[in-house]
Amino acid sequence: MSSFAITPMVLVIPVLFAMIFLELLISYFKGMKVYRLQDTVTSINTGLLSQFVNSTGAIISVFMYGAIEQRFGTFDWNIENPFTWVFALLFYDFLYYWVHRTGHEVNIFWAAHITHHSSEEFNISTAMRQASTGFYFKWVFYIPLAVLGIPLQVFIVVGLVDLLYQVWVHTQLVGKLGWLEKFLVTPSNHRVHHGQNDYCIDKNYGGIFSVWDQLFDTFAIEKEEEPIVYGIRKPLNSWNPVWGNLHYYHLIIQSVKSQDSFSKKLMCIFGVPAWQGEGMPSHKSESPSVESYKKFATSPPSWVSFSGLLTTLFSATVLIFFLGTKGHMSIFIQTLWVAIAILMVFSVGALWSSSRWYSSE
Amino acid sequence: MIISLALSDAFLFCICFYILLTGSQFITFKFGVSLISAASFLGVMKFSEIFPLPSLHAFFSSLSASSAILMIIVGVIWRGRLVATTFRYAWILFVSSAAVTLIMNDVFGIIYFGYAIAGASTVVLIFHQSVSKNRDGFIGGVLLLVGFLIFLTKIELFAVLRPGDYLHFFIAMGVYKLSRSTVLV
Repeated sequence: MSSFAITPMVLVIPVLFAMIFLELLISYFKGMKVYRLQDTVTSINTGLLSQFVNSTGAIISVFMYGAIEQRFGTFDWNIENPFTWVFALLFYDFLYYWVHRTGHEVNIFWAAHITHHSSEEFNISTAMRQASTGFYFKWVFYIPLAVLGIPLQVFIVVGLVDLLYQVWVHTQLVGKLGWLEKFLVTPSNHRVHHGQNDYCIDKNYGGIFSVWDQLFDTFAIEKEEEPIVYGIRKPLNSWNPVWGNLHYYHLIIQSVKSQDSFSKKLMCIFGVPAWQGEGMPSHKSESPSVESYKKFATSPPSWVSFSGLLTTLFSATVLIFFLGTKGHMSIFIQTLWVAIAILMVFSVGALWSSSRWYSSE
Repeated sequence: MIISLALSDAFLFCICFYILLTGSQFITFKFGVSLISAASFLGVMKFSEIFPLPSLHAFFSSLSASSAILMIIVGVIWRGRLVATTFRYAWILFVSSAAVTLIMNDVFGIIYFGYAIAGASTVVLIFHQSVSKNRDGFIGGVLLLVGFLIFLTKIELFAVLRPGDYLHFFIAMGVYKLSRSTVLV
């Protein structure tokens, strides 16, 4: 198949599946239960959906970065000099910290990023649970890199490195890593980031380096005495990746409609998620405990579970084919593929949800 | 070396710096003034050829047009409101206006979008200040608008001065006047 392009993502997807399988195997032998079928499949489907959508959405980021770098790029950087790469990675990670922090602390951006936090489990598949709607704002944060003149190819590579580094930190199988905890984002401090215990909220935003969290006072160490409850304070209660991506936007719209003043409407959109406006979930609700927390679960017949799993594996194969061949497709055909992908992951979610198609609430 | 532009940028920088040091305006207003002072400082560096960073100057000039003037005007019109008093909303206003302008410039090729934003918001300011009988605010708005018009129409009144010089002088005087109209009591 000569027209098939081996892109980084085409290579990454099988590796991610292998990592999930490996973690599943190790956890089985260690007697730990860190995977649940429906949660895992939902995470994978959410990741596949985001890749379908972002393969087009990422063009916006790359185009805008390239255009700004062309117009305003201040310095010339030699890409053969290692310093260029080290500086770009450090600065990218610093900017990522702010992208990530904004994703948590501004309602409209939290609406995108909440997708990643909606899993009540914490494992490698959670790393795949990425938002499909974040691409529209993230590029803005990387403008300083473009203005400094960091070349587009360096930006893409360090962005990919930053993203891929974050995969392995989504695991419960690795404990604390001693002195490394002070400098790097590790599984331990990323577990804190995904927790909904009081001490975990809005902490540990770093991508590769945890020094940014320490500099800006958002660093928290995992507490052995308080097991972490993963997920979000207002649970998603759905296996549907499409609803997982849209539910918080829906909440914002409902909340905006219910406010009487313009400033309160603005707060619903740009305020902190902890703002206790009518209809908005509050971070300030009671801190959950592992003993009392009830995870979302449904009991579809086994043939339904099996068909959902098969559909997911088929979707992953389709995605690899899509990413490898989309360079030869027109925008219309690409859109058609994305629509088919949405339909596939949507149908798995709808099949597995117990009552309404999008949510079991 | 373009001495007149270096001097007029230095004048603008001094005025902005003076406002930032001595004024007690709302955060959004100060944010806007800071952006203009950064652009004018880079202008001094560029036109005096001390340390020219032309693309960085162009970037901050673009931000001054798209975001700084808008933020200053929001700080005048909506004084006391959240958007004028909190860093969070000032920042969101800044990022949104800059992003929209960049998209308009680079995706749709509308290169004067930033100036259109600055011009339109200045017209709104003049109207608002005249209705609310705020003399300093009204004069400030008119000075800004005159500066934009001279710059965009490239009028050359004196041989020694360039259109950019008028822009710098009028913005400096306009922002100073607006700063007097927004002093917190």
